[in-house]
Amino acid sequence: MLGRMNKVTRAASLAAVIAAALAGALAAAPAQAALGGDLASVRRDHAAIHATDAVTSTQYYDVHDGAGLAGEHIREYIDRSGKVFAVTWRGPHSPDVASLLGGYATRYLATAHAHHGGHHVLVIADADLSVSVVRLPRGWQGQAHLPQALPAGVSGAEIR
Amino acid sequence: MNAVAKPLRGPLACVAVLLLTLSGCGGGGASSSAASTGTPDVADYAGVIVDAGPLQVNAVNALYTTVTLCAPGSTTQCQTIDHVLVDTGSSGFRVLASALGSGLTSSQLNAETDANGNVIVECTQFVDGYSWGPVKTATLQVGGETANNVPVQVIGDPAYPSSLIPSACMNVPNGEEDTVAQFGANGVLGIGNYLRDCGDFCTQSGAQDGSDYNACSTTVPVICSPTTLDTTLQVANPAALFATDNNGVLLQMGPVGSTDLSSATGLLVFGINTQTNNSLGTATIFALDAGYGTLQTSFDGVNLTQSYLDTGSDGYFLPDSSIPVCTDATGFFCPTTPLGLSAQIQDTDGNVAAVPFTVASADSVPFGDAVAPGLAGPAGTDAQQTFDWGLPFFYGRNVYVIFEGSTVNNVPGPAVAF
Repeated sequence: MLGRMNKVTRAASLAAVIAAALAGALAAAPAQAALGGDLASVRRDHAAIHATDAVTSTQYYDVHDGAGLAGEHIREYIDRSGKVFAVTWRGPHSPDVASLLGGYATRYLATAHAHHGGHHVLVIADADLSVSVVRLPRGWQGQAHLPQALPAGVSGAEIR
Repeated sequence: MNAVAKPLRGPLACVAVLLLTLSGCGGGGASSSAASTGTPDVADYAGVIVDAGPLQVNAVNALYTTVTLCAPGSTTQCQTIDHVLVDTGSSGFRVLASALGSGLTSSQLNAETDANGNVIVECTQFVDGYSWGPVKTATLQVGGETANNVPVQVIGDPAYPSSLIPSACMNVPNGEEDTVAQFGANGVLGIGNYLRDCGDFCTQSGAQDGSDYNACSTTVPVICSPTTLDTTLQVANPAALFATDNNGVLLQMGPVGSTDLSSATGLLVFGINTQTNNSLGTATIFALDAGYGTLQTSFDGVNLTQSYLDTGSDGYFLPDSSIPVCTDATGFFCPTTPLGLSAQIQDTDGNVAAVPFTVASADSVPFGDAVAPGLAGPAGTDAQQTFDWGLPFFYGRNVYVIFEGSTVNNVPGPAVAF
């Protein structure tokens, strides 16, 4: 077991499990959310970065691409039932990731606070939640999606 | 005590250099090149170590060195700071205010100000939190090299409390990293490809939101506002400001084998092709994307264009959904047996190199071992296009970082070589 991650990680993991259970119970209509949220939450996220909005439709989902003033991009993938199942971002700054993750933010925070991945890469690879945040030498990129909520016929490789 | 750090000299340095057969060892540890100009050679290297880090950090695959910080022009107001992270993935020197002390305090360093006398205070964001502190000007010494008037960040300076941190800085709620325990080191020495930590983006008015530079008023109530900052005032890569040996760095890590170890050592050599101990030799140069500082990695038939070599990452991070992830150690791989894999590092100039690497279970790293050569984890999906070659890549290699604005063997930086 890695030294930096023993007691803190176990405590954080337990807290995260509890938080996730609570978040799941309350997440029917998450406010201020993107992941797991609805189109209105997407518009709120884009307004927050004063973004223009471009929509691309495929057979199974719509992609809303918000391009902000500072050159950042936030993209949300919405399935035919109106649910956001994936979010990606790229830009010179880190966005408010907790806001983008909505009800899943508590799990992201638990991982961040455990500090076991260093300063440049943070990953959650759970069956129901995939998050990766990468700080490049210049710039940021990240993605979050719900593997169990991918529409039939859609693979994770399409999320970019 | 007001000690000035002595660079690593003598037998240990010689053994480390001999292991990698780049040059012999001159007497006294100083480079023994036949300098045609007749100027004395500078001891252009510093020892680096992979160990558990400052107390309570329990680091794995973290690379550290020792830096001496002095008030400009002073040889007595100095602080020697051990366990400073060596980071090829960022540029600039940052020190925790709590790591300064009897030799030098933050208040003994002049703060940078804008044209109106407001103090420049910086937010620095990481994936797991953010740091906050003023930009000060200092003299910085690493090994035998000295840089004067270097803009550095002093993190957690009590004169600029957390209450001033702009909301745009706080990418991780309650994620402040302004103590040694939160930060994971006493400081960080960013010796990546860029000359400044932010670059042109921080000179663009209208794009600043407080998550980079801020100008804080000096009269009560103190108010901090986002500000642009000229690149000449931005936090600087200190290795680019040495008088000589300033076109890049060479990191030489001794081989560690495939098993986990309690610690490992190496040398951080300053300059490339500037002295007999830092010649490029037969290393291949890979040009980086100038905008992101990235190169390409082909893995499992996918070209990952947002890849980079990063001593500041504690493992290989790559997209591979076939490798089991750990249940305890979130964010790492736990294969049942070590996996022998291979990827190809490449650039847009046609340079390629096949790189074999091993992925071993994070759960198998013994507690107390700081060197884990097989530590790895997932880096998101293929679509993210990232292969992060963290510290394990550097074990047993000579890796060169060529700075932007410099040219080595007719290849302009930013570039890397190995």
